[in-house]
Amino acid sequence: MVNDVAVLGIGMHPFGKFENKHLKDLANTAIWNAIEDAGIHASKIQAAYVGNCLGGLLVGQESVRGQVILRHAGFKGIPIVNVENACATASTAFRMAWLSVKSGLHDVVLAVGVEKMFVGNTAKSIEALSTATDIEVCGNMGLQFTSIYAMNIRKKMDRYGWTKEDLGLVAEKNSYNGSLNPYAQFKKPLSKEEVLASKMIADPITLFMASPMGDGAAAAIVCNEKIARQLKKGNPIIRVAASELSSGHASMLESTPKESTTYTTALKAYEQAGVGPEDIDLAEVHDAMSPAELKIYEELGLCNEGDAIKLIREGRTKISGDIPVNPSGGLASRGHPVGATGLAQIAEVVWQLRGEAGKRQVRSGDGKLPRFGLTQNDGGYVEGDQAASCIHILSRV
Amino acid sequence: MEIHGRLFYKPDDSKQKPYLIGSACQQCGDIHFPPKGACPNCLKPNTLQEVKIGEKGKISSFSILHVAPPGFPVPHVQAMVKLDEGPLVFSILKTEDIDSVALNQLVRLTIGPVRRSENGEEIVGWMYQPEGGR
Repeated sequence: MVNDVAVLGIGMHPFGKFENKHLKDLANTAIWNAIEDAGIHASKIQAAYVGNCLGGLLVGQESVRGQVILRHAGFKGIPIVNVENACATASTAFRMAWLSVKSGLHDVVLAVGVEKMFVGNTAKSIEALSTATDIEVCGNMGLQFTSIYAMNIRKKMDRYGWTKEDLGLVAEKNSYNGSLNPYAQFKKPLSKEEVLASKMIADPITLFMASPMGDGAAAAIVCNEKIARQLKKGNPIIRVAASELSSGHASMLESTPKESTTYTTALKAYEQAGVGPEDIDLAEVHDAMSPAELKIYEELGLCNEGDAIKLIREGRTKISGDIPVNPSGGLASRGHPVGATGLAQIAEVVWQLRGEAGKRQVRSGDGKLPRFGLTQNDGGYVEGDQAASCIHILSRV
Repeated sequence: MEIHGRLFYKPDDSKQKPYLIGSACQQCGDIHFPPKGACPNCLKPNTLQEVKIGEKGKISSFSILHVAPPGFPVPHVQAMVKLDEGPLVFSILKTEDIDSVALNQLVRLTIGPVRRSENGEEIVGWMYQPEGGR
């Protein structure tokens, strides 16, 4: 038995610095916002997948984080599975919730992603982040994700003629989008000049191109589409048209766009949804350093190899463009509490498809709401490639 | 440092050369670093043999870090080195001439202190340095 799966409700706790809030508090807000949004009684939730990446190292809660978080939120008795896939943790939790409804095992399932990175010790948080690699190989070498991205971006600048201005333009676009998002960590629009003049952290990456540390949470309730149809009484619903998860098989640095893990994962997602990249109306992508967005345009097939800089220079990926990318502000502006990011991407796409995105609402030239939205979430770094690549396509039906 | 002996060899005297410990598949010829438990091409047990690799390579890409974790100098250079044998290896670049570091620059393996631990102890690992450079 294979069921169509709908996203019934989504909820977030804003991303930012919340020194006095525990993981439990952050998750509680997102969970109950999602339940309220879904319009169901919480007792209907039959299972939960709880994503968190760094709580073991940063809060000391190594085991049963999901059970601790959900007990606090009022749940007992249901099966709870803890999910960790580095920065792709929350999208993986969402995928597991999808799978458990898709398979017919459950009808209504909760997915949560939560992270608490401000723990009063920045070095500890950075050290924790650097465990998203093979630590036997890279653990003592000072490998930083800023550096991984910087090396990739330098290679692309050399190969495709990207300029520093192009890198700045992506951050300029995304910081503007973030300024329109009430859940975003940073709400100040930046010019590309300000971005390029900010502190150099890992050449060619400057501070304003980098995603910050953050606290936050996001949640989704997925259900059998038949239940969504009954509840929504003829109104459009949001279907999970595709869910794909891969582990890395390529070289982030040396692969062509079509050899990349993101591309092969996206291709499977397009096939599952029965659409192509030309059908995607907006995308939320994993720009842990904002210029990485350029590489992702090509790896998702939104443009041909080498054409990413045309998309950004021509403004086509702005909210007002024909293929908006990261209308939420992306990781660098919305923020990147790592274990929550994937579900924040899902939340943004759901709001966009429903027409509830406020000032950052994406519309086509003739004023129509978007129909297909894609999320792309990467996690970790193993043997020169992302450890996890998770792509979803949502559609309004 | 625990990885010593599993991932690299540090000679006791200057007559011997340092190397990285890789694995080579006797069936398809692929070479891996870090050494694997099975070959991803062949997916069969017991096709791998330990090999000495990594003496030379070239810089596939690099970044100059102006913000670094505790124990590392600022600025310092991190690189992905494409070994002559094929694997792409993350490494600190040992150089006093940061401004002349370039893509495709030829580099050579050296083993030495990578950084200091919180207790001030030297942590030994592999690094690459520009050929003929300082």
